Order: sequence, then C-alpha cells, then structure tokens
Amino acid sequence: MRAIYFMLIDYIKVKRQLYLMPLFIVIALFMWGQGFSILMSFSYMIFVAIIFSTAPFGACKKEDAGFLVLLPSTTAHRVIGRFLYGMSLAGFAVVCSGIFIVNAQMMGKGIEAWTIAVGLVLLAFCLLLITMEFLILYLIGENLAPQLLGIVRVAPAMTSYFAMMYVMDGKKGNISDSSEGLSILHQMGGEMMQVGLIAIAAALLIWAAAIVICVKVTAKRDYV
Amino acid sequence: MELLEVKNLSKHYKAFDLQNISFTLPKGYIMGYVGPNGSGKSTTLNLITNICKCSEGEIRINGISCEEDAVAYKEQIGYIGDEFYFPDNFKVKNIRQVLHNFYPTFSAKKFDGFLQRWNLPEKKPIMDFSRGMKVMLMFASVLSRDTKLMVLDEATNGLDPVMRTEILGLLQEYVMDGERSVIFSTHILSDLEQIADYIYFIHQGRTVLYDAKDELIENYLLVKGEKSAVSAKLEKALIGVIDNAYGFEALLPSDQAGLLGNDFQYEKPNIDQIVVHYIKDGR
Repeated sequence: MRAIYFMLIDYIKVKRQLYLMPLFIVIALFMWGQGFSILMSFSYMIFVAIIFSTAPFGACKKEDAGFLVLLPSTTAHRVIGRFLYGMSLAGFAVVCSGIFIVNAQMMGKGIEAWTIAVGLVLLAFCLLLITMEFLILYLIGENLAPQLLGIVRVAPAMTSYFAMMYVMDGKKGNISDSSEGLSILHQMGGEMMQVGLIAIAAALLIWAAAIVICVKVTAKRDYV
Repeated sequence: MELLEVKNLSKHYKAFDLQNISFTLPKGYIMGYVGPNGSGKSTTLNLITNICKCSEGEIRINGISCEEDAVAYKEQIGYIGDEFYFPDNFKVKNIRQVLHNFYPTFSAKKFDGFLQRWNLPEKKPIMDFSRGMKVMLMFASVLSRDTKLMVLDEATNGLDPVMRTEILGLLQEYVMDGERSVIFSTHILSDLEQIADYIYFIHQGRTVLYDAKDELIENYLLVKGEKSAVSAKLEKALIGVIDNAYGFEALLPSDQAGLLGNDFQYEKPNIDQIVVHYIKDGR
C-alpha cells in the first residue's frame, strides 16, 4: 500500500506535465480518425507514456528528502512506487487504446487477432524501455543533470516510435501478413498471440529484476 | 529511559570525517547540538533521520534501529530542517493527504488547527509562502501526529524573534509530557540557553563537550585580566585565550579556580562563550 502512496506522490509531483495528457489522447484519436491503424495510435500513446514515465526523476530535489525519505517506509516502497508509476502510464496507453478498440467494434470495424498480438509485443517493448530508463536513472542517481535526464527521457521514446514504424511498415501503419517486421515475429516461432504473451511475461520479469537492483543500489545511497 | 541512543557513529566523506559520536538523550529532554559551520551537525542529524547512511555505529530511537524496522523508526521522528522540504508544486491539501496516508497517528483536525492558529493560507501555493510560513507549515506537519523525537536542523534560522520565541515555547510544550525529546541544532545559542537540558558540542567532526547544560556552565569560569599576570601553570589551564584591548579573556575549568589568585576577574560563562572559546582553542 505504501508503494501505491508513493506512486500517488509521483503523480502529484508531475501533475502539471500530466495536464497535457488529454491533448495527446486527442492527437491519437485524430490519427486513428484519419485512417491510421489502431496500432499507430497505440504506438503514439506508448511514445507519450515513455516520455512521461521519467518525469518524477526531473521533479526530484535534494531538499525533498527531509519529507519524502522520512515518510515511514522502506527503500523498496519508494522504488516500487516509482516503478508502479511508470507501469501505470503504460496501462493508461492500453486503456486509451482499449477504448478506441471498443469504439471501433461498436462502429462495426473488426479488430484482427494480429492487431492485439502486435499490441502486446508493443506493450512489452514499452515496459522494457521504461524499466531500462528507470534502471539507468537509479544507477546514475535520482538527482542528475537536466541535460542527461533529457537524453534518457527522449532517446528511448524516439527509438521505440521508429521501431514501431519499422514493424508496421506502411505509412499508415496498416499491418499485413507480408510486412517485414511481422515476418521477424513469425520467425520467433509459434502463434503471434503466444509471442505477445511471452513478451509481456518477459518484460514483467525484467521489470521485477530491475526493481530488486534499484532497491539494492538506492538503499546504500545517501540522499543529500 | 533513553529515547535516543547514538553509539560510535562515524561517517566518512572525501573531505570530512565524522568520528565516534556517542550520546544518549533521555525522554522528556531537549539537547542542543552545536558547533561551527562544517563541524558535522547536519551530518549527524541526517544520520539520525536516515537521510544519510552511517559508515559505522548504531542509532536507536526507543530501542528500535532503522535497519530493524524502518517504518516504526521513521514514524517516531518529526524533522524540521533549514531547507523547506515539501515539493514545490505541493499544495497544503496534498501535504494533508500524504500525511494521512503514511502516518496512522496523523490528525487532520490538529493540522487544520495549526494552519488556522498560524494563519497559513490553504489555497496559496506553498512555494509562495514566506520563510516563516514555511517553517510553521513544517511544524504543523510534525505536531499534528504522534512523534517521539523532534529533530531540528537550524530550523529557526532567518526567523524574527517573535516567531523564534513561539517555536521555543512549542518545543518546551512538546517535551512536557516526559515521553518525547528534541535534538536541536542551531547557531543561535541564546535559544539553547533558554530551553536546552543537554549540550553536545562538536568541532571538525569530533566531540568537544557533552554534558547537562547547567553542569557545563558550572564547570567553567570566564576569566578576564592582564596577560602579564598569567602564570605558566595558569596559561596551560586556560582554554581559548582571546586577546582584547583590556587584556585577555579565556575559559578556565572551575576546579582550577585556585590558580587565579586576586589578579583576575571571573564569572560564569554562557553557552555562547564556552563554544567560542573552545573553537578558538581548537581542541
């Protein structure tokens, strides 16, 4: 529970940045309305989630330690809270896309199983990137230079967006069996849905391992 | 019973070492933790609050160490620092919510009572609060829950005398039930003169003096006189000799008063004078 409270603190700390979220949802909706695949809209939301996931690191000040570090809790509570914040943003992208999908179904537009499976792979990729960003930021130290934080925040999100473009080939992200990116996933063996689920499971395992590492590193560190 | 136990505490930095700090603070007492800038006061307090990790030693509050039970340990601490520690974009309602979430003993009613008592505006962004308002908000957050040890790190710096007097009153009220204690670091030694029961004096990371305040004052004499009248034996016993236009001024352990004869004036020193002469002495 204390970890969830720390997640809520992160939300309070970055709420001004999160006020921009509705704008990004509108852009994703607009993309979808313009005939782009639901996966393109999802990719875009993931891009946004990755960018925003590191915002609490930028909102850390050394002086805050007198309040936040002294809250009755362990290092694990604080670190897990931060990781939950990152995961919740990925969840937010999923919920938004889910609403788009339900809306599409209601309008009579069917969503193929392929789309869901690729969506799972994209989600796993998103979780992995957020995990790697958090790992780097915790290893370097939470109170790092704004320039470095800027690179860590933007580079993975840009990489992920271009990777998704590559996977989805076509300009409007309309996916097909013959797309080059999907053929790579085919080569990974098994059904696409299984690949998606395995990817999610692997991402969650790495996420948990990263938490353990970050707790160990942070527990030894002075806050001021 | 001891509320705070600090044993052989050390912290090593590249340019500074805090070495072998040991003391105990009984329940119901106030300890003044004093020393010049860079002496290790804030380092010690940061180790007690677990903001920093000690290289060696042990700290217990009510018999609990942070390693044993971090939640129970931290629940007992109320910390007020020189720096305002609430995140800039927090509002008063956010602080209230966080305190409610984390502290089972937090009373929103008490918190709101303190806000009213000190005219702290609920709606105004806390980053726009004056220094005095920020300090009082930190006090409101600490006094609205059941803490056992209040840790103040130069919390009264930059406050006007009226506000400082109010805070000193709050601290005395805080320890009145005999169950809670205060460790208080400050440069304003006249504040300690009023409220401290114990004085711990640290210099260059090492303990210089540690005693009950009244004992400390009893144990020294402030000696003034002509330097030419100082015998070799007396010169050896004097602590922190400061030359001035009228001769010299120094501390002398009370048990060495026999060395003075009739050539010198002497009186009981205050804490400020004891600290100044010890710093001058460099022991």
